[in-house]
Amino acid sequence: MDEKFKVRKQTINDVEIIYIYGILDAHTAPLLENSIKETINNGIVRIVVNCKELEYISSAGLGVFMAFVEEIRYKNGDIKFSEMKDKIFSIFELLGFHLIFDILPNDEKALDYFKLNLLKKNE
Amino acid sequence: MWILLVTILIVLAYFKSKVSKFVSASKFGEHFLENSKTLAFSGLIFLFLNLIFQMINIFYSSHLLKLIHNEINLIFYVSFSFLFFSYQLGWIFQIKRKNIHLLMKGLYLSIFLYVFILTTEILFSEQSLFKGSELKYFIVLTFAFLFLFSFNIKPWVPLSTRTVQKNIFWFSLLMIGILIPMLGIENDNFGIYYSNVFFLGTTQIFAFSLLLTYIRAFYYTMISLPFSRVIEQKVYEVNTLAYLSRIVRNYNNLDGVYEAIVELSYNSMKRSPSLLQLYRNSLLSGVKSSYENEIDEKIIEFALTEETIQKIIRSVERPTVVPSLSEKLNPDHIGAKLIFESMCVVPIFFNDEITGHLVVMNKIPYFFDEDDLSLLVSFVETLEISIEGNHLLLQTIEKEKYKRELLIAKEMQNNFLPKGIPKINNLEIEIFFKPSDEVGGDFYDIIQIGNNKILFLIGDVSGKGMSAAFYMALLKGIILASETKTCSMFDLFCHLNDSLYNHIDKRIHLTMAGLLIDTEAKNFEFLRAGHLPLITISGNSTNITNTCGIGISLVSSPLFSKYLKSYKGELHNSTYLLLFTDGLVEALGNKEFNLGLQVLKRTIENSVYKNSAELKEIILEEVNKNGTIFDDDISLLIIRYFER
Repeated sequence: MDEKFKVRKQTINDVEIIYIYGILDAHTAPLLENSIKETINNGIVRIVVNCKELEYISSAGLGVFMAFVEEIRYKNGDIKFSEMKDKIFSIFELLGFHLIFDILPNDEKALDYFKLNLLKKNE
Repeated sequence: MWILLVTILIVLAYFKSKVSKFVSASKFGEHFLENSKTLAFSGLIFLFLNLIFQMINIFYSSHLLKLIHNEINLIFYVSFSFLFFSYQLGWIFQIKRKNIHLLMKGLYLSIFLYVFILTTEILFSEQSLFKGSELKYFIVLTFAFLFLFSFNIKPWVPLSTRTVQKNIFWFSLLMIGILIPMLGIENDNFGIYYSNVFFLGTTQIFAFSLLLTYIRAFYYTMISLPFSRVIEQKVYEVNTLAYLSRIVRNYNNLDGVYEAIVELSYNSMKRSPSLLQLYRNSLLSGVKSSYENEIDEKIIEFALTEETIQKIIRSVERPTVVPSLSEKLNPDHIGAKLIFESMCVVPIFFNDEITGHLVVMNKIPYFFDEDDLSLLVSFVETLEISIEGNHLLLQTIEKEKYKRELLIAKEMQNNFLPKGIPKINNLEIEIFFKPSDEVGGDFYDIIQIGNNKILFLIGDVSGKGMSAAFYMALLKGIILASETKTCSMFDLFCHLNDSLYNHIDKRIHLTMAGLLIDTEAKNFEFLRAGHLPLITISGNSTNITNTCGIGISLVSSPLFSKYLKSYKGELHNSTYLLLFTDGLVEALGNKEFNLGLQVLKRTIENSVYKNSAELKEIILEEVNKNGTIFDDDISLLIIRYFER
C-alpha cells in the first residue's frame, strides 16, 4: 500500500468521517475513491472529510470529490470538509470549490450542519 | 644416408602435422584411426605377399625367388617404416604441447638405457648388444622411446565417439596381428635387405614401439567401449546445453526455438517421439513434434487426440514421469489400444501460468528416469527464458509504436496552438510553452478581434498526458465553433461550461483564464474560471488580480455564471500582464502554488528588465534555479502594453 497517503474512517450516527493523511494526487486518488465508494455502498451519503493531516492535493485529488458529489446530493447527502490547512484551502478557493462545498473549522461543526440538514445543492 | 632419411621423415611428419595441427582430444581418435587404416592396409599387403612367396617356396624353391622375395620385403619394410615413422612423428608434432613431459620422459629413458648398455659392454665386453655404430642405435632407440611416450593414449580414447572407438578396437587388434609376425622375421644375412642391419633393426624397433602403442590403444578401447554409450550421452547433453544457451537468445524466432527444443528432446531421449503443445486461453494454440517413423507419428497423434491422455498431460503442474500408462489407467478404458507406455511431461510456465507442455513418449514401460526428466526440465527452462525474451521484445516494439503515436499526437496538439504571434500595435507578446510528457493538458489561444482588440485564453485540464490532451483538443474544438469574435468573454466561458458539464468524466475539470485587451480604449478585462490569477506590473507596483470563478465543468451553468466575475483595469505605458498555468508556480514554489505565486511576484519586483523577452528569461531562470524537474506542463504568456 502506498504509504504517502492513508485513509481512516469513523462513523457517527449516519455520518462517516473520513480522515485523510498525506498527499492526494493522481497516484493516491484511486485509494480515496474506493474508500468513498465503499461508504456509499454501505448506504452512508453524509460524509465529512477531515483534512487536518492532508499535505497536498492535486487536481486529480479534487476530481475524486466531484465524482461523487452529485450522486450523494441526489440521495440527500453531502460531502463537507473540516480542519483544512490554509495551503489546501487556497487550492480549493482557487478552483471555486469553497463555493461548491461547505468547508468547516471542525468535525463537530460539520456534524451540526448535517443535524440541521444544511446541504448544498448542485443547481 | 640414414640422417637424410630421418630428416625427410621429420619434414614429412611436420607438414602432415601442420595440416591437422589443432586436432582436439575428442577428434584425435578419428585421426589415429585414419592413419591406422593406411598402416593396416600396407601391412596386410606385405603379409599377403609374404604368404604367397612362402607358398611358392614350398612347391618351387629357388635361390632367385628367395632373393626377389627378400628384395620385395625390403621395399615393403622400408616403405612401411616410412609410413609409421611419419605417422608417429605426426602425432608427436600434434600433441607436443600437451605431452612434452612425456616426450622428455622417453628421451631420459633412452639416455639411461644407452648408458646402461655402454656400461654393460665395458664391464663384460664379451658381445655387444648392438652391432655397428652405437650412435645410430642410440638415435633409433631414442626415437622408439619418443614414439612410445609421444602421446598419452588415455584421454582421447574415452572422448572419441563410440564408432571410432569400435573401429580403433578392431584396427588395433589387426595391427597387433600384423606387427607380431613382422617382428618375427629372421635375419639370415641373405640379400640386400637382410644384410642391412640398419633397416632390419630400425624397422623392428619401430614396429615394436608401434606394437606397444596398438596394444595400449586396444587395451584402452576395450576398457572404454562398455562406457562409451554413457559418456557419449553425457557429451551429447553438454553439447546440447551449450547449443541451448546459443538458441535461447533467438527472441525474434520463437518458433525456431520450439522446434529446436522438441528436436533436442527427441534426440536426447534416445529417439523417443517428442511433442510440444502450447495453449492460449487454455485452448491448444500450437503443436510442435519430432519423430522418425510412422509408428512414432501415430504415437504423437494418439497423445494429441486421445482425451484421457490429454487430460493427464494438461493436469501436470510440475515435471512428471509417467512410468506406465496401462498401470495408471483402467484397462477397460483405453488400455487395450494404448500405443505407448511411458512418458515424461514438463509444464512450461510464463507469468506463473502454464502456457504449454513438453511431452516425450516411449513404447517401453519404465523407459524414463529422473535424469531424463531433469534434462527435459533444463530444456524447458531455456524455453521459458526465450518466451520471456520474446515477450519483452514484443513489448519493446509495442512501446516504440506507442511512442511514435505519441509523437504524432504531440504534433497534432501543437497544431491546436496558435501559429506565430499576431502583430498588434503597442503590444509585445512572449510565450513559453512546455508540456511535461509528449502531450499535455495546458492550452493557450490568441484571438484577434478587429484591429485593436485581442483575446488571450489560457487553460489547464486536470491530470496529465493523453487524457488531458484529449480534453484539451475538445476544448479547442468548442472554442473554434464559438463566436469568439462577436460574443463576450463571459458568454464564451459560460458556453464552454455548458458544453462540457455533464459531458465529460466528472473527475476531470478545466481551469481557464481570459484576458481581453483593448489598445484603443487602453483597458483590459480579466476573467477567471478556477484558473490562476493575473499578474499585472505597472510602474513599480506588481499586483495579483484574483476574481471569483468556479472551474469549468464542475457545476451547472446557472451556478457557474452566478459566481463568474470579471475584473476591468486600465493600461498604462509599459504595463506587463502575465498569464500562466499551475506548472509554473508549482515549479517555483515547490508544489505550493501560493508560495510559487509569491516567489514569482518577488522575482519580478527584484529584477530589472526592458521588455517581455527579458522578463521571460528572468522568470525561466528562476524556475531552473529552483532545480525543480518539470513534472507538469508549464505555460507562460507575457503581454506588454507600451505607447510609442
